[in-house]
Amino acid sequence: MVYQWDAFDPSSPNYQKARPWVAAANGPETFFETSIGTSNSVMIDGASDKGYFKLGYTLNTDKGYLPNSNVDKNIINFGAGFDVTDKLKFFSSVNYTATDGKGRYGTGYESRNQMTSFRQWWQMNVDIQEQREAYERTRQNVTWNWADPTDLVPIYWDNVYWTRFENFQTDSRNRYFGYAGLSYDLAPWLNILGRVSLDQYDEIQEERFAVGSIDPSQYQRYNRNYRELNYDLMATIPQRNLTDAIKFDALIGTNIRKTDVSSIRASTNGGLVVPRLYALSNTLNTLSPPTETYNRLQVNGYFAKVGFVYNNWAVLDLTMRRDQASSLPKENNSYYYPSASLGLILSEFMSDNGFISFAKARVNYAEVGNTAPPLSIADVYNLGTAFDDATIASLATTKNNSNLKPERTTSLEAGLELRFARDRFGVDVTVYKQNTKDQILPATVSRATGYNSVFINAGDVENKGVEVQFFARPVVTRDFNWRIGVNWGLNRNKVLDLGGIDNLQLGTAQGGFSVNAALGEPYGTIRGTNFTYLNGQKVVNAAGYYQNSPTSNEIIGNVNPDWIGGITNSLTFKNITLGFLVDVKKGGDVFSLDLYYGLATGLYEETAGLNDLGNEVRASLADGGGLILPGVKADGTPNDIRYDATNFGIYGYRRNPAAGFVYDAGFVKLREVNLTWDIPSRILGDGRIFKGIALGVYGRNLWIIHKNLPHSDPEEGYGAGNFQGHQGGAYPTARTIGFNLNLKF
Amino acid sequence: MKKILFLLFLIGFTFSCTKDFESLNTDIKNPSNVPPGTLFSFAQKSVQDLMTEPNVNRNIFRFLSQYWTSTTYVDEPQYDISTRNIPQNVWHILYRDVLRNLQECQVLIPGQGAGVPAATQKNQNACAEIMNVHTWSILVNTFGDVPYTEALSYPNLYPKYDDARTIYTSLATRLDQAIADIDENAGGFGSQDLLFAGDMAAWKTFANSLKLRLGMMLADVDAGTAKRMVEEAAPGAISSNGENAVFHYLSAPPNTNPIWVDLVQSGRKDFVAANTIVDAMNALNDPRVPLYFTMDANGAYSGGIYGSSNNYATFSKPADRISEPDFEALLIDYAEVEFLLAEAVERGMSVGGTAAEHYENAIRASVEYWGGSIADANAYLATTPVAYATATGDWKQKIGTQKWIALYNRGFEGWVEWRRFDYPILNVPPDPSITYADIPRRYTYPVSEQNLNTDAYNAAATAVGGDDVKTKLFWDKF
Repeated sequence: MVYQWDAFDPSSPNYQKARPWVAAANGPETFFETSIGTSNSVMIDGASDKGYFKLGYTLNTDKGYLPNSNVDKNIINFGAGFDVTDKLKFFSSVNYTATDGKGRYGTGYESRNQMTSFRQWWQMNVDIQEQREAYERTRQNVTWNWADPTDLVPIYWDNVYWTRFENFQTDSRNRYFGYAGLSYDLAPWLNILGRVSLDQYDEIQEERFAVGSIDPSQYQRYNRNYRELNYDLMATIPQRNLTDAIKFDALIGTNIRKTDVSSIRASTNGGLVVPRLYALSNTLNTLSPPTETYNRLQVNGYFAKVGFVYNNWAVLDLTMRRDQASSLPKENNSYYYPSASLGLILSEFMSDNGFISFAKARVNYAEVGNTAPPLSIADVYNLGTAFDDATIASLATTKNNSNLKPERTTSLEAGLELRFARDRFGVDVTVYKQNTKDQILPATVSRATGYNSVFINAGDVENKGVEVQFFARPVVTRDFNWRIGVNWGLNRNKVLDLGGIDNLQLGTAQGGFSVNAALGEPYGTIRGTNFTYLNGQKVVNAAGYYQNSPTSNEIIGNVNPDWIGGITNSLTFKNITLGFLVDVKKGGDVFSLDLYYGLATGLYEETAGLNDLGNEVRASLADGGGLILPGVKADGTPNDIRYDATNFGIYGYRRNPAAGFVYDAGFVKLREVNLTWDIPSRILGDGRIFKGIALGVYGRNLWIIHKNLPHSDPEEGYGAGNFQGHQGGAYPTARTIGFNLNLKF
Repeated sequence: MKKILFLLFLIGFTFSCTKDFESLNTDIKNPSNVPPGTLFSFAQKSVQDLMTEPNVNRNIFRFLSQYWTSTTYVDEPQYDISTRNIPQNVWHILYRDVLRNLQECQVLIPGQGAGVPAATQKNQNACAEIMNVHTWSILVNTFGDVPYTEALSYPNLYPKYDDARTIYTSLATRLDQAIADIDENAGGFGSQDLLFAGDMAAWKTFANSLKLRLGMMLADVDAGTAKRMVEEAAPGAISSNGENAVFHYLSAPPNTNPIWVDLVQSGRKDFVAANTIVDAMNALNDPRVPLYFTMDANGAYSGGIYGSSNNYATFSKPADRISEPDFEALLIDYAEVEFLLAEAVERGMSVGGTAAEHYENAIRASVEYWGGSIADANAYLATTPVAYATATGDWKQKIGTQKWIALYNRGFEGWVEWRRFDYPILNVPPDPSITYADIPRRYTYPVSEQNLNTDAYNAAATAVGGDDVKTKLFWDKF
């Protein structure tokens, strides 16, 4: 019998009572609620011989699977056009979206991400529903993790319901997207089009730490304004016959893109004075200056395209574009990039009754130029919060680069599409090679340079691979149809040149783990400490645990999968369609921070059970507990040292290299199943209001058929952007069941 | 006509949007120039925060010197410095935040123009040099060989490592030059100077004290240089607690004493006093015990078992005063100087006085600094285990033990002096795989260097005799 957390909560029925030390009836899995989403929309439209309009409204609501989380969206779409004359046409569109979010899920390694608690530091005796009741009873932070019997405050973790209902975030965003333009037929063979489009949003994100949390109480607000304006002017020659055999079309135009992004972030300093009041003025100490950013980018583009079609079996398109970007040094700020594509419909030369019903070969080459992020050329200083009378400034930790040149992606692709037996089955094979050259990025460098990172043009990263799509329609009858689709892709990448550096570090985490792109290696190799091996066996040291490699730059994994694939099946019987999708990822590695810590704290089943003697592994060595790790001693003889497992060490991060927490991230998943019924009009009857009704039910993420990463979905992770192959505080993947009702008036 | 107007309109807006094109890429929220003193303040605060804070991600020197130990998470007291990438975090702050900004500050000093007199500029440069030497000495005393001549020299992204001994020679030269450059009648960084508010006499005293410390570090490897440096520096070094080099923290975030951040603001209860120091001080009836520690659960003073998990409520904690938001941090104090002078006498250097006199002055200075009385100090000095003549061991043990006690709250210096004196005898954490030899003698190099400066790292690891915490630094001969 043990005094557990509730023995110290005066409002609890278990106050001052000891209880059995057993696993909780309601574990963290009962923390998750059923998430409910709805989407309702109406649309009206109309047209006459002079114009058209459409007006739509959509309301989406989404209640998340964590308590106190929801996202609501109101969307209004409006579009209208009017033919001023036969030749001059006006068109426009306005879309407005208002999004309100609350309680979005915390990510990363922090107190508001409950998953880091549940997966790494949780106590298995804690009943999550009793935590909920404690919070609801008191509205106080009655944690399972008291600091001390004499000091009843949380020490490392808050009550998770306190976190959700007190330390929640909110956000709201108003987005306007629209365009207006004129189109004029200067001649039957020449159209001029001018268009201005605007994408603008303002958003606010607010974060809270209530008084009484483990983190100092705080209110933080972040306001951001985004505006992108596009001006387009283009002249088009619609497809026309040059000769009987050759058709031709062309386009020339200009595009000006202007992007302005500004933000301001401010937070209270030192705590809140009045509990539950979230305003900047409610600050314990004088506010520190807010952080402001203001980024502007303009790209002036000119482009042209010509297309030729020869006898309906050869199609050739050629394009060229020149961009000039404000974010590059003046002498390097304009760049050209062409593309060419050729398609040959080979089946034109085959007999109509042959086995091959369609054959097309294609090859294309494209370059895409890109500019630098704004403000990456000239160095600046950052001003900080004053120290009494002293102004504080520091040099920016990223070294900018006044010699940047544009980056460029070149891709060469060839494909063959074949359909057989009157399109009963077919295959589409593509091979490609893509090189990203002079990629502009802040490369992490030795801090002995005085910088975290320096902006560089990073050489050449090559991706090449094969994609295969296959389909078959094994059954085609009037009432029953069956379609199978298979796709399969294989990609290999390699770092060929890094513009003067030898390793691009993509991300790092605890324990010396890092993801890298080093010269001659794949983009995304995992490095860290490794086991040491003798004749293929892991070596244990004199104490009986695994001997770690002395350095943390051993290659211990590769985030890139061997291949990915998917199978879709669609079965249609009369008006009813059943579809399902199975997704497969073969290989690719992930480092699990959850297991790194969670195996150490002992919350996973792998850390309990019986040892080779049939005793509780967690019993003391004297009582026959402990563990002999598989491996050999330094002299090559089998390990016979029994290591004590009464405390943490043998399983988790402390005594094991990072390599011990690298897992195969491959999976086989039943990704989606859907069933749709188009209600036939004869059932709707003659006096019907609706032109059509469709009823659907679907399920997503229904079943992980196979995986090698224990306890979590290998696709989860807080790796963002380039930093893949790293999972910590992983959320469970939600299984979604949905219903669709479409009414057509 | 209509067509032409339409085209003109479109062409018009195309070109009206392209003026001021390059200026769009100007950062209008951050300055491209700042007064050099602003960078100086930042560097001063950055290095002091790092050396003062007990955050287990960056500063575990209070564990290494066994002043404190932890309650729950015993990894760091058991010398696991790799899980939290501690060497990397120290390295990053010192190079990027401190040294790079000092360098930039020095670049900007001449650009201030005629408004700042030449003598003031020279003083400012001397201040930056002294801070540089202070910071480089922390780096070298932590890692051994580090990038020095090729460090901070963009576009060189792969700076080679320099021999630690050679860096020391360069630091001594730079420090001498800075001392020579100081004009006590001219100004410095004024209110931007967070240590001495532009008082150049104080800078000179600080620089001499630093020289005294650096000189003594060489005593076991280059007695001649050590003797010269110590003898030159001693007359100008700190001669009373009033001259201590002190960083005055403020009462409000983000400028508070970082110990307050980790012990009070965080709400965590990670640390208790270590039994190593509490037991040692209790045995000596040290008057500083209640000044260093809170009472334990029994109204006495006791420390948690070093390196074991410990119940927070049971044991003594750091004294409340230490975790006040505006509690000051020491860089060098009078007590340390007097201990150095006592050692100098023992090593046959000519600094005046006897070893016992300096030893007694040091202990008196420490007791007084922490709020004890002269009478307390004298009574303490009169006891057999404390009195210089009768204390246990040779001069290394006597001075080493008392200096270690006086350096409480300065974990880094405590660790440096333990490595130099090899006293006191520390405790071994209760873990079957740790022996006395496993107590770190240096930090391993950062993982970031292994990955991002690989060739230079490999060369350095070989040069220092293996990138291992057990490898002794060049001055750690015994």
